[in-house]
Amino acid sequence: MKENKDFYVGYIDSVAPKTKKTIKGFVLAAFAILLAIAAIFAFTQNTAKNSYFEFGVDTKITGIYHELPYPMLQVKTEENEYRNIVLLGFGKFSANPYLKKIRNTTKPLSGSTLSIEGNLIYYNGKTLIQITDEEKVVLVTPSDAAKIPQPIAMVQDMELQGEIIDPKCYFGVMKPGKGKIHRSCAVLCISGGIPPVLATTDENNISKYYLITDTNGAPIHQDILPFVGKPSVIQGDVYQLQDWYQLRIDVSDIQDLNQPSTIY
Amino acid sequence: MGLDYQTVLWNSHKKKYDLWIAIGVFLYLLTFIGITILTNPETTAETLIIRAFGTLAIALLHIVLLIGPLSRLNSRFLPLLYNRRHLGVSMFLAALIHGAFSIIQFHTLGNTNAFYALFTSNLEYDSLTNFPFQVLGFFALIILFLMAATSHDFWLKNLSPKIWKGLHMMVYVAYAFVLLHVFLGALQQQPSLWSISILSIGFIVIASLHLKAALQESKIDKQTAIKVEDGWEFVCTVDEIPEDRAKIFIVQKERIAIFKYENKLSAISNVCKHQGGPLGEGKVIDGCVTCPWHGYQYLPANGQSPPPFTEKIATYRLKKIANEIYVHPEGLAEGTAIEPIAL
Amino acid sequence: MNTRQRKKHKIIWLLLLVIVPILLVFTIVNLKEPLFTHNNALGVVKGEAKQIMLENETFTVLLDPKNTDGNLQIFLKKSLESPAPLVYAVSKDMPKDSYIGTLTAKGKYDFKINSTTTSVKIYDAIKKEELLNIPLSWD
Repeated sequence: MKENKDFYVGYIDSVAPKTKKTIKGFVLAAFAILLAIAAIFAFTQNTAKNSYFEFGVDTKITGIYHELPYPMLQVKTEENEYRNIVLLGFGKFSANPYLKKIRNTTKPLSGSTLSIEGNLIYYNGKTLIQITDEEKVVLVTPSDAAKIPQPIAMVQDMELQGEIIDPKCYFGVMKPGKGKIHRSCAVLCISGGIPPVLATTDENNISKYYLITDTNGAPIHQDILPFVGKPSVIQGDVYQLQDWYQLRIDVSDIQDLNQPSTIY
Repeated sequence: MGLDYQTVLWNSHKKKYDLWIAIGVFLYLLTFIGITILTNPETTAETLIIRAFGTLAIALLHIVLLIGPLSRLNSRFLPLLYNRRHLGVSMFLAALIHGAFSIIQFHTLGNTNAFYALFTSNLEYDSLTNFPFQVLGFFALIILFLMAATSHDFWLKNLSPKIWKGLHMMVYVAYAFVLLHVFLGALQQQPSLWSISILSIGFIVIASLHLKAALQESKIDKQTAIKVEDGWEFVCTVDEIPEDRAKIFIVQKERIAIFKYENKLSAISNVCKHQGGPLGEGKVIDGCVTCPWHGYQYLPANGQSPPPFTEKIATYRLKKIANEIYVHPEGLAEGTAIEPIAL
Repeated sequence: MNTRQRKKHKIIWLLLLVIVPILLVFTIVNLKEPLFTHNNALGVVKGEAKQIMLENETFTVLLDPKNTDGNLQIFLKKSLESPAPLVYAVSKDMPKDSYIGTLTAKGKYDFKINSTTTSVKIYDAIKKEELLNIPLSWD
């Protein structure tokens, strides 16, 4: 070790000049490196997308309730034009706990016209709503089964490549709302009842979204958890429910692509 | 010294040190958050906080790990070592904010206990690409928490220096966990040559400095006595020892220090009772051997700390033949008084 | 530090120096090309016969008066921050705006509008507010 004549004692105020110089040099270098690291990490982040969550803002929507198989509200926007809004609950939960009350008083619930007040979530053509108060789900007109839309079969055994995401986070509540880091959250959301969605993007940068169900069109939650948040190839039958696609699958038909997903 | 539970014994150096830590942390956050808001306006507050404090913690950890070997290689870096634990605790606090927000963001408000979810939401412990990286971060945070919680000398005394030091050496395990947490986490999804380079260069620099210091110390430890007379080992000549300083020597595989002061010579153990600092690299101030790390003191003639302090170290017998100094390899019990050799 | 501690340091560092680089190299080698997913901007293909009515970060709106099949083209280049955007043709002759289509995901939308249309309005049906009014020039 270098023989230094100066000697530093922490509780004595004076410091030898050479020692002071060394420390000053270190602090300067440390600051320069610290700020360079801050800048580099900041600049190399991927760009967040403009998905939107109207946190704290209530909007009222009115439409026909249906579960095909996930709770949704069919809102009429124009003559023969509908927007099917996915209903969600607070936190990593589905809308079902908030629909319990009205389910007890209104039987059947499907086909009824409801007015729901909640927080909107939207991105890239898909709209969802978070319900936080069951009192804000109000019956407007009792059920008319004729009003319930029907899924139309489109393609059988379609092969699609994409990532299974949870729509609440993906379409607005979290950024990033998909990928490896977000995976735990997506698993919890889908386990809590939020519908799994397959998000695909083709080479022209056009995205399509599919609500995933089992081969009978019934909900899938627990069985799909191991495949959430990982780019996969999935084979299934495509159905169209107005502005949403539905993909009916058997979970054994999901192949892991073993590829990471970019966050954006 | 500092054994009762007084939170911090402030002095002007510690205050300055902490002020610079605060400035550094503030500037880091300002830079990271500022750049992100300007270039990435759609970012959310939670993601921004998680990333800002996570990267801050990593940067601070690298600085903390540099201080040890730098101080061994050049004693002018010792002022950084003096208050290093404040830097360590600051680093822990940054990591805690990162960890807490991450757990809240990704694991709470679901149908499972957050900590259970942390370990079980992703079960692919057998894969590298899909490894549950957050578990590694969690364990690193636990280690850092235990270190921060016991960073006060109160714990050093009550856990015993041996256990305390063993616990605090876990910082290296935490470092490894943090590196893997990033490489198996953020880097899998946002691979960036910059991030890989920063962390790799950081590891190489820290490892190289540690290696250099280790080689230097190994050389010292390999010394053997050139000649032995009657069981007494030759150390050096009287004029080889500077005034108020010491010559470090090895007997029975441990280091001792022979001090020259006030025309006398005394030999004591080289290892300070506080945190094992190299007393032989210290200086005699006001008749007391002063440790270069935190300034603990011992009377050279008997190895005892001046009252009211109670630390004691072993002393060694010296013999002077002409101008040659010989030491008896068997040390005496801690605190044993020996008549110093007069010059 | 005493000999025992020095030895402990040596052991820990030897482990770190072997394990950490191996694991880091492994993970780097394991980094794969990520699956192409959503990228912000959409590429726009403009025909020569078309005139630009609006061009900004979110929209490119083209009008081709001579095309009788579909004379209005709206390129939505970024997701629109609106829960239910609808497109209307506004004309002086018509008392009420005429609904011509709904905008959903990023992409290209083709419409056929009357040459009396003076502007195209984008209106959100859920928030009940007008988002944008694009004046058209037919010459």
